[in-house]
Amino acid sequence: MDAEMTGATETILSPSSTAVDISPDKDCGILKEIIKEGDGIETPAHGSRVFVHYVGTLTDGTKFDSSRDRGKPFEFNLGKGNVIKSWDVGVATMKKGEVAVFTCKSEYAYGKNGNPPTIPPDATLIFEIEVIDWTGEDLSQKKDGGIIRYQITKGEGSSTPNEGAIVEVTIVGKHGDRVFEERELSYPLGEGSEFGICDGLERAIEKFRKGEKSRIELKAKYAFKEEGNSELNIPPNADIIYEVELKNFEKAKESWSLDSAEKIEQAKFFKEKGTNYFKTEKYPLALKMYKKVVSFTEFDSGFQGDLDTERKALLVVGYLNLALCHLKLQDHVEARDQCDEALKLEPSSEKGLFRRGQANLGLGEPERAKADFEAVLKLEPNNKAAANNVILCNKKIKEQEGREKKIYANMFEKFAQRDREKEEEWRRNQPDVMKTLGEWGQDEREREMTDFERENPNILMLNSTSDEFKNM
Amino acid sequence: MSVQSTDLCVELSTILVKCLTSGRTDDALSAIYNAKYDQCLKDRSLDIIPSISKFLIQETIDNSPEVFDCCETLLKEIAQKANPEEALLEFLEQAENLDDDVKFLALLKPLQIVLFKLPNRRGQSLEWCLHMIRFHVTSLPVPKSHRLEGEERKLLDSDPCICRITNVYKGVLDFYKPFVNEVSLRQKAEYQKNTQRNMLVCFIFQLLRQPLAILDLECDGKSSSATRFVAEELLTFLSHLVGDLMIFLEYAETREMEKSGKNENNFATQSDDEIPILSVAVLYYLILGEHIQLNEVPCVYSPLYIFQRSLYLVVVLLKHLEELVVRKGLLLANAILAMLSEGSVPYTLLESPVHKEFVESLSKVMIYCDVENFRKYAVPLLRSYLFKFDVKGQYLLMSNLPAVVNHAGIMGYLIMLLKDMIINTLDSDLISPFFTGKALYDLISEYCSLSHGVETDLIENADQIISALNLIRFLSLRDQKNKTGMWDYVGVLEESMLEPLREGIKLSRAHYKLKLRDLEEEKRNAVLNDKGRISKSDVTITVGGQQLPNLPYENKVAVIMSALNAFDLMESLLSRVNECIDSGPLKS
Repeated sequence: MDAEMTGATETILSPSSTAVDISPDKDCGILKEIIKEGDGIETPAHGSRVFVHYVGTLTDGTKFDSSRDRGKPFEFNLGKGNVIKSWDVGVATMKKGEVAVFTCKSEYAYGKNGNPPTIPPDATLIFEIEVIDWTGEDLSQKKDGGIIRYQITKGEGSSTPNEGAIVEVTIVGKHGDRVFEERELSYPLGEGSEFGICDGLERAIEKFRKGEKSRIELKAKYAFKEEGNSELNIPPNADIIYEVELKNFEKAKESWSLDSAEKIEQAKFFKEKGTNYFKTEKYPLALKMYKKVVSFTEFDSGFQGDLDTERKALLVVGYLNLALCHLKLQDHVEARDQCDEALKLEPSSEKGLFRRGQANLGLGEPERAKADFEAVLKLEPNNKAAANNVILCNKKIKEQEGREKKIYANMFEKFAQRDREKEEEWRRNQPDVMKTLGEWGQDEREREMTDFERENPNILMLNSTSDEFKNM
Repeated sequence: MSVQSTDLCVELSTILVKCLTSGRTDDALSAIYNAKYDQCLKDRSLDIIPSISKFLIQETIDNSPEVFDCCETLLKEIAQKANPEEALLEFLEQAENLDDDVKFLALLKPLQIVLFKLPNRRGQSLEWCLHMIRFHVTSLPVPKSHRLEGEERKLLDSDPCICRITNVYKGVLDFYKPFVNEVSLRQKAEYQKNTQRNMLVCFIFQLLRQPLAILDLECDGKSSSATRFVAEELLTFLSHLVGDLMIFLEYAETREMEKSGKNENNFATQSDDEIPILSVAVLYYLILGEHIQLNEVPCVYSPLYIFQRSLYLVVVLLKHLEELVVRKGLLLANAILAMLSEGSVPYTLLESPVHKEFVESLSKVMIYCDVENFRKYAVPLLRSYLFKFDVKGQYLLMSNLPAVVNHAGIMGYLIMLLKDMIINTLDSDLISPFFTGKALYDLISEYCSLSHGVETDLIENADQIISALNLIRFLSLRDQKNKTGMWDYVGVLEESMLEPLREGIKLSRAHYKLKLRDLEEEKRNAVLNDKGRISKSDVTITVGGQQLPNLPYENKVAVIMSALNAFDLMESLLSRVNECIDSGPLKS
């Protein structure tokens, strides 16, 4: 082994003819030479936590870095761009126990900048890497090994679904050797609980790329916890395994990374989704979708001309549909506020006025509701629904008046009663002036007169003899 | 316990106190070395320690240093002979004294001795000690903000608070050292999980925060601050404990995710702040900005990864109020930007919300920071940051920035940068779709517009307006062949910016002239005081939406004159722009 190593050192400076080009573009940017074959055929999957020892050398033989000097293997997540390109490519080809030498051109290392102070510009680097071991990728937030991913098929691209993204997944759940569920579904990430997807699995899917298939090992606390799941026959505190494939997803975009046309596109996309959910009476979901429509369109920077007209139209629709969802969910205050927003942009929106009318009616404000419905009728005299609602409002107003009369009839008497009670209580709570004064007076009497008092006895409006103080 | 031992113990205490009081240090020492007291030292350290430690005060050092030294020797001896558990508790109790560093520092050594006598059951005891130390260190008073600029910062080293802090840290480092060495990876220690190592790492991070974070840790080649030595030592410890110092970037990532998901996610609410994020930020400032231990950092990390992860740490630093923390943020930002070449950052990174936060906090420093140096330092950072992105990234940033910064000065600066980006586009063989045609027009109309049309306050927005005019003029001269497609939009631009501006200048000038006349009239009518000056002026001037405080006449005139000058400048630029447009190739 030692002899092999020294042999390797000599060839380091220029790669031998047996070196294989493993660079993705076949430009001889990464040459690999196996020094010691590894075990088996398995190589670490994308995302694995890999443990290696390595020695880095410049072409002139200067050693610039070595994990052995630090006394601990170097560890990193493979394929995440955390390390220089040649490493992500190179280590992915290695088996457990393998030792190989990589000759990396600067394009796959530190480029024309170099990495001061150790790596000069445009330097070719030589790494001797030994793969010690790897584990799945720990996806848990606390890094407690509760959610481990082993990738089976690598996904494409670099983007992963975020909160709110609609993901299409196939999942196979196993407890020990028993498959407890197997299904295909599409749902918005972050709402897994509604769809029987446990916390840990959700967290894992967040890290998937499109097309990726992985095995996810979950500790009980990220799965069915101490309760277990009787339906799926999962006992309490059971660790489980899922095999998950993310077939596709529609990312919930951060509006910052989009230009105006893309924002419109996203807004439309979510409008569609919202409408679908609305039709199937999934109002909370529809609400979420419409909120996104608003978030993509509410700021006007960067929108011009037609695009801006479209943006405004979408925004109004967003507000109006939000209002509708809120109405369905009996959340009248929100509904009214959303209508207000819509009407700010489009004061003569029939739908806006109508829905605000409904919201006001729901809030027990028939007067205001009536004004809204009447405004609708002014715009569209043939709107029967509005006309009916005006009648309804009138009825409500009357009812309310009746009720109010009853309430008010008693009210004055009640108020008067309450005032009396209050006064009485106030009186009770007042300190008894006479009594306390007595006490205070007691103090007065017990102390000797001051010189001042003696000289000016009249100041207390008593007779001048000092005795009178004592016997007051 | 035997009566005899109790008696002996009282006897020893009495002797020691007597000797120390009268300065007979030799007698005190011979008493402690006397074997007859060994048993009582072993059993009754609890009673003896306080009688010695009460001499550990500044007064003793000043008046009779030999007594102080003797006390230290005595305590070390007791630490050796005493029952370690008992002595530990007593030493800890004595050391817990926040007003006095003397006692605290003097007791660290005996504590260390005691801990080394507990090799197998050290965990909990060491944790207590480290807690006590951390508490002492973090409670040290910190110097007031001095707003020192440039060289003046060196004065900080003589601030009494800082001397005290440095002094305490030095003592603490000595305390840590043997424990660190014991589990150091460099000493071929096992690298597997180890409680003592983890504990030390956690507490070293605590020491990197308050008060170290707000001190000057810089080194300008020749002189370095005294506190920097402390920082260097702490990083050496860390490096010996964990090997790869970059590993904490993953921790920063976790924290960043937690933060961004906080609103929706209850998952994240973990309050056990074992490693404060500010400490992580200070750590990477020291490594990347100050190059401490940089040689030990693995040379395989991708600069882009370091940039991405550290940007969040920069935001953490910039959001602090203490200026030396802000400065660390600026220096870290500078360091991570220097690692990247222009155009090398892909736009996809912008998906992370940290970029918005970065620009926000950086522009806050640019505008509001109290220290002029820092404001000036921040400006080129913004430029450097923008140009690190690929063209699409630059475009996305430029189109989103106006909503974030909203300050005429920065807008003016950004317009200059926009000009540079357009030049890059014009110079490249491949015409990018971002700085040409409609996309470019969208940008220009965002930057070159009057926020309130004719009524825009021209003085408040002067920087932006002048930059905008320069940009349009530049484009019309440089792009004669309509490579950018700008000429297609000239008409719209005239309508939305140039015309209202001409009108605006006219109105503003008339307004200011009127004010000037008012002032002159006031001067004529006013009663002159004995120095021949007008003491008070009632004409009010409003600039940038704010009414100027009641200035004397001369100042008001000066303000008006400078405004009128600005209008002249704008007008001449405007007419130059119009000329260029009129003689342009595609103007029909």
